[in-house]
Amino acid sequence: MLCERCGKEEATVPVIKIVGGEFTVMHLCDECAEEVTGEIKKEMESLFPSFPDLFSKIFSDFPSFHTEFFAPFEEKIKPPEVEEIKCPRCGLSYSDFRKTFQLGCSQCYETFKEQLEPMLRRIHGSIIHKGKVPSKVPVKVKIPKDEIEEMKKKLQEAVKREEYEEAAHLRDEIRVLEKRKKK
Amino acid sequence: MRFKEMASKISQWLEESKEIVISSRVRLARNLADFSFTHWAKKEDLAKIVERVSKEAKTSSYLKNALIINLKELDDIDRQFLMERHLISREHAQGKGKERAVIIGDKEIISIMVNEEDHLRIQVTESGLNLIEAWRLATKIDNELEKGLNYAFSEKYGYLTACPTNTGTGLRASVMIHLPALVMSRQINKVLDAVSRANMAVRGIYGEGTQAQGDLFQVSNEISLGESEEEIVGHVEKAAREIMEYEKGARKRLLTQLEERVRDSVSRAYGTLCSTYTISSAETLTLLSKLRLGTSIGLAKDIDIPTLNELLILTRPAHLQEIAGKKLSAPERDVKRAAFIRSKLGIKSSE
Repeated sequence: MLCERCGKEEATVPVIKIVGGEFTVMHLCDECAEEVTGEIKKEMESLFPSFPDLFSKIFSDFPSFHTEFFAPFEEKIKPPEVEEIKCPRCGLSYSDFRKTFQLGCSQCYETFKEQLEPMLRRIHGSIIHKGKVPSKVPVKVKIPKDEIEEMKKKLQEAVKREEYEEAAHLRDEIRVLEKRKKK
Repeated sequence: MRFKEMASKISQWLEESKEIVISSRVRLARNLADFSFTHWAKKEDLAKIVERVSKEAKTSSYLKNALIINLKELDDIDRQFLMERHLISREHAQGKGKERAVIIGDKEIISIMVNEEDHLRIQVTESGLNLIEAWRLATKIDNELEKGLNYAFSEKYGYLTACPTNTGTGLRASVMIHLPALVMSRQINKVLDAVSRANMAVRGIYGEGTQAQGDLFQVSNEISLGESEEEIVGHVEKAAREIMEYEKGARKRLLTQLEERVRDSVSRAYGTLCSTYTISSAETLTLLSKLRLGTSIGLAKDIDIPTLNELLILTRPAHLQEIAGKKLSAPERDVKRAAFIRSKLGIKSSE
């Protein structure tokens, strides 16, 4: 997504502005974000001399509200395309999910896999279930081979991008899945 | 209104509750693979889910004498009553017109909400700090139910839930904990901060989005995926034990440093409760909290914990109305509540 202010650079920072209880999110590039927050800050400082502390607190806390669940993959995929993805089984669109934070059916986990996995990792620190398995699912949990292959590809890509934290996560997860397969 | 009889007694888990950790609760979120999740499902599908789960529940050995209640058939007071007893969540009480049910086991230890956020929310509540027992029982019930129900489960992500915050084990382990000394000594925020840094959530007594009243808090796990059930339950249990130690420490310090102030506040609470003729639910909770603190540090010898447990639940708005058998306005409830408290404490103090 391009910066909503200059329309040239890639948007990297969600800036949240709260005026009279209403808040608006602007997706900005680094430079514009700095300029905008600087402007607002000056404005507020002239109104309330003791404002800077409160201001910096709001700005350090609030972006996480937005970025926590939705930002990580939005950096990689353009939102308009994502918003339109629909689950073939239940018809829930990604924008429906964003509104309620509720998925439509079990198939949604496959449909929105690319978006959900980074989200699950942020919430839980993992994407691989480690607990109880229903008796109807065979104890030797069958993980499809291409699932592991796919994750290995992602691992290579992450290493290329020098995103080592993600790579480490993927490495551990691949290990768990491979171990489970051998059992 | 249909719970008059039930409203005169408290649930077994509360009867036996201890001083600091009042109760332990475990819930498992499960969904049926053949249907959309509750909020996205068609009305007729929701009805089918209620039917299927109820049918399966009847075959469970743990739910032999269970009450199966369709919430659509209840009035607002009945639903609030079930919420006050922690048998259903606030969301489940409020969902208007939606096909939904609750299955309540013997002694109110087990309750299964059908068509809450997930198709099934299997909940087990035990007295005191006893998460492991609660989890074991919930698992046994789950094992029985899964024989006849086709759960939504992924080999990779585990149990699939409507909200990604519950994916994996679908497990939430929580303890209801009474922390008056930490509140009084203004240490509570430090402790709660530490708790949330350990990936635990702190909520009010009626769950998500509710306020902490009467110095009662609920501490529960945030992570449900990537850790086994044993690990999750263990973490919450450990956190609860640590908080309990802090609370005990704070009580000791209060007693040595501010004995008169604590004694004064406990005695005033007792005095007010014994002599009140109209009292709100919020004030009742605040004063009961002080009395509970008093009894546990030997400052209110006339009162015992079971009486306080009774007062804690039976003075809630819907309970008063169930007992009265009619809808009461807030001022009417305040008068009834005061009379009920006086009678409970009066009997004790004249003994």
